Amino acid sequence: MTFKDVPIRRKLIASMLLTCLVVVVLMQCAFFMYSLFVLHKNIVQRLSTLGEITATNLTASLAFENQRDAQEVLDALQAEHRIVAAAVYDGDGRIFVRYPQTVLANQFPAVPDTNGYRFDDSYLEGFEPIAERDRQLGSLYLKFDIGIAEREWLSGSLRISLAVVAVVLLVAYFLSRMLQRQISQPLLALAGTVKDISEHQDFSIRAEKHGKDEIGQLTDGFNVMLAVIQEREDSLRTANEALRAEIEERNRAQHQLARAQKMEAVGQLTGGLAHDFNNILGVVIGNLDMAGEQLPPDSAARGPCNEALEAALSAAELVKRLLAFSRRQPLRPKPTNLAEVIANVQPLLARTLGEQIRITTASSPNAWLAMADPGQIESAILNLAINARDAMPTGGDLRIEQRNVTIDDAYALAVDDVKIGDYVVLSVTDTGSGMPSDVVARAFDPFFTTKAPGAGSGLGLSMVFGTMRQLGGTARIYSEVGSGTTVMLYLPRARGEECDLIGTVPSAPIPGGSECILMVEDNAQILAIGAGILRSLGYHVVVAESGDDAMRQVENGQHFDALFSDIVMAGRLNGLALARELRKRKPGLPILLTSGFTSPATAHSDLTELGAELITKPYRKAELAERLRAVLDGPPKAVT
Amino acid sequence: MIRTVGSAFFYASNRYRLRRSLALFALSALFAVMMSSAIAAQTGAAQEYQVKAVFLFNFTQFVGWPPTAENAQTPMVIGILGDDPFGSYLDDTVRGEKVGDRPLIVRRYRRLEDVDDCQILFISRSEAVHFEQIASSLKDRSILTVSDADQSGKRGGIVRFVTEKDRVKLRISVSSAKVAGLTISSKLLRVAEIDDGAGQ
Repeated sequence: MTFKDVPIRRKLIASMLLTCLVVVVLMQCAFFMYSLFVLHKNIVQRLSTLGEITATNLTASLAFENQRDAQEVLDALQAEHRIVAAAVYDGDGRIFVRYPQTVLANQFPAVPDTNGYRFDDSYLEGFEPIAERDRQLGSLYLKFDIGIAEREWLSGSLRISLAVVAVVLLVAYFLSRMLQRQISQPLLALAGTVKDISEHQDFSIRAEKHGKDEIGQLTDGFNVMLAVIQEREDSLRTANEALRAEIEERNRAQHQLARAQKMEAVGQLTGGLAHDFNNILGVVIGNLDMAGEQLPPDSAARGPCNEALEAALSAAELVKRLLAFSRRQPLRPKPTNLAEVIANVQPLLARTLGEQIRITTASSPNAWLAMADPGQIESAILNLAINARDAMPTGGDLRIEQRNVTIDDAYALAVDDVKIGDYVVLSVTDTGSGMPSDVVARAFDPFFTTKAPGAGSGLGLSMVFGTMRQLGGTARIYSEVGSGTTVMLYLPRARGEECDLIGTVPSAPIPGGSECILMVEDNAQILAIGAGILRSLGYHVVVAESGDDAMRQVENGQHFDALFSDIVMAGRLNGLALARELRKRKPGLPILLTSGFTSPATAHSDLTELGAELITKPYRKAELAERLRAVLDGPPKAVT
Repeated sequence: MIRTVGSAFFYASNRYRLRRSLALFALSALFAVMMSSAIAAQTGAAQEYQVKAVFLFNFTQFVGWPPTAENAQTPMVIGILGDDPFGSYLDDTVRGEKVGDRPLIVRRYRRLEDVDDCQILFISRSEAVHFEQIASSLKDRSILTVSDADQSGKRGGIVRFVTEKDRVKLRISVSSAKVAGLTISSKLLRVAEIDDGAGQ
């Protein structure tokens, strides 16, 4: 760890301590120099004083040659242990007495030198005059060991000096600890803020400013920088969110588009198939009807003939459902009491599901009427029941309920494909194996199935969903693995006058007539059958093999009372074009159109525009009779 | 200027000068040593009185006389009563010397009546027989009486020279000095024996 890595607080403290140490040491050095100077000066002073006193005491001894007394005086110098030698010289310059006596005389200067003291190596030595009343009697020699004095002084001074350094450093340490906050606190606060920001990625944090010094400027700059960063981050986040929402929106749209395209493809496939199939079924059913009428009541062939008719009708029903699923065939929704539908379908369910499955039904007494096609609903219930049975191989409960639900804003927002309004909900619940969520998510997809190959078409739930959407409702699945599945069918509530029509199920005998009907059909077999049925009902029939043919006959003055035409025909004029043309010529003309399928574009609008009715292929005699009679008896249609 | 035994006469004319050249100094020292050894060989008695002469002179440094006895205009007198044992020593010693501003002179008295205004009086052994009479007549006169006669201290003298082992020592009677109105420096008292006749 180098000094650069040391925290700033320690750096500050260390700098201050170092500064203090240097200053104190320098001061101590100066002090030592001065002190040494003073010491020397003091020693000279002291030695001088001591010499003067001693010299004074020695005057009489020298004057009256009392060596003993002089010796006593000199021996008194031992009180000053730093004096290592002393001697008294008489007026002739001879040593009178010496101190200490152990020192040999020849180690003293032979003759006294000039008065005064001088430093010699580690000694201070010199001569003091011994005088009485200005009369010099002799000289006093003193030798002072400065070394001892200096050592004593040094040890004493060093101790004090070290103590001073220690105290100064201690005080400096505590002072610097306190003072360094002034500098380090804002820096540390700033560093802490930076750390917070980098840890939490939160650029809304602002550093607190402590003053207007450089750190304060740094803080200001930093805060400005943060503001810029935050602004950019906010805009980036907003842009990112917008982008993500757009991606999600696009994904959803793409998903829906794909689904729609899939449905479209399936629809076109089934539609095309159904068109040809309906023509074939039309021939089969028509001929079987005719055959049935011509057979004697007791004929053995009547049974097989009826069976064949039933099968053909079933096939026709299947095709109709395919068309409904692909929305090629407009449904005929009407106010429907679902309780009745459930009651009607229950015996069939019991037979289909077997004894292992208990069926319970529940209807709220004041349930609304739903806008629905009863046949489609029955079909849907049957479909769901069969799925339920397959989910309960060892038996279980199947519960069919209906109740009223009002979808408000919140719910409509939560589930995107439902409109706000009143609904009658028909739910089918089983206690079967249930489905995991990924299966639930795909359950309504066409051709998606979890059943073994060949066991299911994958169209069942898809058709139910398609039907519900077509009716303006929706379908939902709630499923839990191991507990069971509930499928809920949301059917829009029937409104107002539509409800009055309830119960007016016609069951009149097959009506006939004598009007002249122009029948246009490009399929020769269908044309034959249809013409046969109409004639058998008493109508006069004029046939045309195409729209162009029909037009030619009309221009040639052919009389007719009503038009019964196929829609999809080869040639210049198809059914719709023909109907429009004739409507121009005869505004009140009753028109009944027929088709194996109808493209969605022409389904409702064109028929409404023409004031025409539609009967789907394959049609039976009774149905045709009834619809034709209704067209003929209906109010005169006007060109809109 | 100091007078010490052995080299007194040489140094008498030679001021103790510190700034004297080293060569001259060395020569003088050599000469002094030669002379002192020659004189020491001459006679012990002569050497003894040489010392006593210097001592007499040195008393002027350590004794204080009352102001009435001290007149700045009159010279300071060292008197000798009776036979003069000093020869020329004392004259040599005081020659040219001064005490303060007062010149120093030596006077010799034959009789007690001759003693006039003097500060130090050496009473020779020849006068020992009259010592009590001399001391009592002089006791009020602020004269430092000095003698080397036996028992001089007990007989009224103030300072007595005692020679022991060839060394001249001092015995001082403080009470007699007090009677005479003299103040003797404590320094002098320290190097002397106190010989109070009254106490002994």
